Amino acid sequence: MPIDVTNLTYIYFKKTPFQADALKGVNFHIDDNDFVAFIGATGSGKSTIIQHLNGLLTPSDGTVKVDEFLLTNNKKKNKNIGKLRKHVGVVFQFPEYQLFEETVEEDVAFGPKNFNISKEEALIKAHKALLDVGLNESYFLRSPFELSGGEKRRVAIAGILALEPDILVLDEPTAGLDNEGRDVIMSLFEKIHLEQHKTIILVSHDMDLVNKYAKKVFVVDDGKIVAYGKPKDIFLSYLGHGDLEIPQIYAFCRLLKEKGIDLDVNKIENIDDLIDQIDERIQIKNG
Amino acid sequence: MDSISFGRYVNYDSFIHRLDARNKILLLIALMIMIFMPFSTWSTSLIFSLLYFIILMILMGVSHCSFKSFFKGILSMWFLLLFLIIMFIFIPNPSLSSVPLYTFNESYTIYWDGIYQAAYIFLRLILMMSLTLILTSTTKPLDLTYALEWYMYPLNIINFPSHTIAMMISIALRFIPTILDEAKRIMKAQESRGVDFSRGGLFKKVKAIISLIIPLFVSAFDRSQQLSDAMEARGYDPNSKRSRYRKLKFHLKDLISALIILPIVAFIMYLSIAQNDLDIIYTLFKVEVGF
Repeated sequence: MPIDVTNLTYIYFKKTPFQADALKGVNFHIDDNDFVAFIGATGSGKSTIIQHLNGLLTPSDGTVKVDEFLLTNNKKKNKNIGKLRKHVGVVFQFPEYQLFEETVEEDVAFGPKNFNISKEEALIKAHKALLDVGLNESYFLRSPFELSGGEKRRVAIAGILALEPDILVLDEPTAGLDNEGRDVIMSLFEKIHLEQHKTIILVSHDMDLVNKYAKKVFVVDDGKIVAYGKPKDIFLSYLGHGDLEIPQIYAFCRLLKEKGIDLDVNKIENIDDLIDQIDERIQIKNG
Repeated sequence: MDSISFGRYVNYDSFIHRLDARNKILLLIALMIMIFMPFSTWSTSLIFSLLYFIILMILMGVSHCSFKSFFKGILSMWFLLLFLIIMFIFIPNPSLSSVPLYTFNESYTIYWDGIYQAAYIFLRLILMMSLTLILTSTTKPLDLTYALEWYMYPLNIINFPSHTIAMMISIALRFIPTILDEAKRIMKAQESRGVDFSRGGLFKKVKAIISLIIPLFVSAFDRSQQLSDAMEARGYDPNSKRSRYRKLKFHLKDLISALIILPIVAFIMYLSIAQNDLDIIYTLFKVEVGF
């Protein structure tokens, strides 16, 4: 399901003293099976953008088109939002706060049941989603409130996966997790992306994750998209000035450059490339 | 969002904003008593209420209150209005020298007085609303609780925990916006899972509300635990003597406003209690009797 956003404008608290322009004419296109990331400072409008993708917010101006679903500023015409939400699953920041059922499996089955799927079928989907996120049968009948933070988050993510959306939107999915939990969650999303061919839209402050997983990056600043492209190109273009936090590997390259060791950053995309380049230098130096 | 913003503190710098919170509470209570003073006839009461209404509208304008949210608030009370009208019109009040309006089947009469009474009570309700709106939208919630604590201070003699209660109120007020934000967030998360909060039958609605309430309570309990830990970590002790960062000060303008309002209230109370209100007004203002 391709996504087309044209001239998207959103104003919070319209016609009140608190009026604030959150988005000022955003345009972008996301292909099928893409893995894209939105990055930018806090308050730049990333979360506002993604809340338009499943109709949680109605555009103040402009259009959002997801496959055949069209959202405009005319609320009455925006029918089928319910159906759209089945195709676009949004995992919010700290999703563990949305758990409420008595057992893990019922909480995960809650989403599918809302889309008129029978209880039995919903439970089957729930079990599959739970296994996908790495929680086995022993968790199914436990209370979600007695799990650890990382487990709760996985249950909440399973709650969205059980909807079997075509597009998965993730708002800071790794916030507040330790390194291990972060890797587990992110490799889970990568697996879903590769095996089930779902479009993944990631919003994150963690530039290392963005660099590692995303194929395309949109830089959001002050309600506008100021740059987009491959992660490497984006980060290298921001290497010189400090508007944007950059991944550790590029920061490391910059430090090396200050010390007089100038690596060819254009050839570096991940940590292995970096090691190769340094290795090469050492071998040259040793003759 | 609009219904929630009713009565919220709005940061302007008007004369009323600058008054001392304690003074504002005192004047509010005085004005409330004034509004509730009855007069001997419905018509006088109605005229006085309309007079108060005009004055309060001017005060609302002076203190930059939002008329839009005020009238929206009134409109949201339509059910109460309907209920009042039906109750007062159809419950007979034969004790008064009432003028009949209409008689059903020559046995059941409704009176003009019923309509006056309903209108009068509704008007009083609006007056109360606008008064409290002026207070809450011109006074910071914290100042209000300090003022309440100040008024409760004498109760300390009988070991009444006035400070604890003031702290509880200020914490509750402080967390209203936070919990509202949280509720909005959870609603969005559940809407993403297919919950529709606006449509659906009773069972679906109940289920939708449960999916909002339970996470909200869980996070509220978490938050209160964290807050109490943080307060204890910083050495908070409700029984010890505390100093204040912000102090309430009674200025000259407080004295002036009190000296204007309190005599008016006293005068109206005198009129009402003396029950010869009409005579005094006629002699004072030389009004021709036209009723």
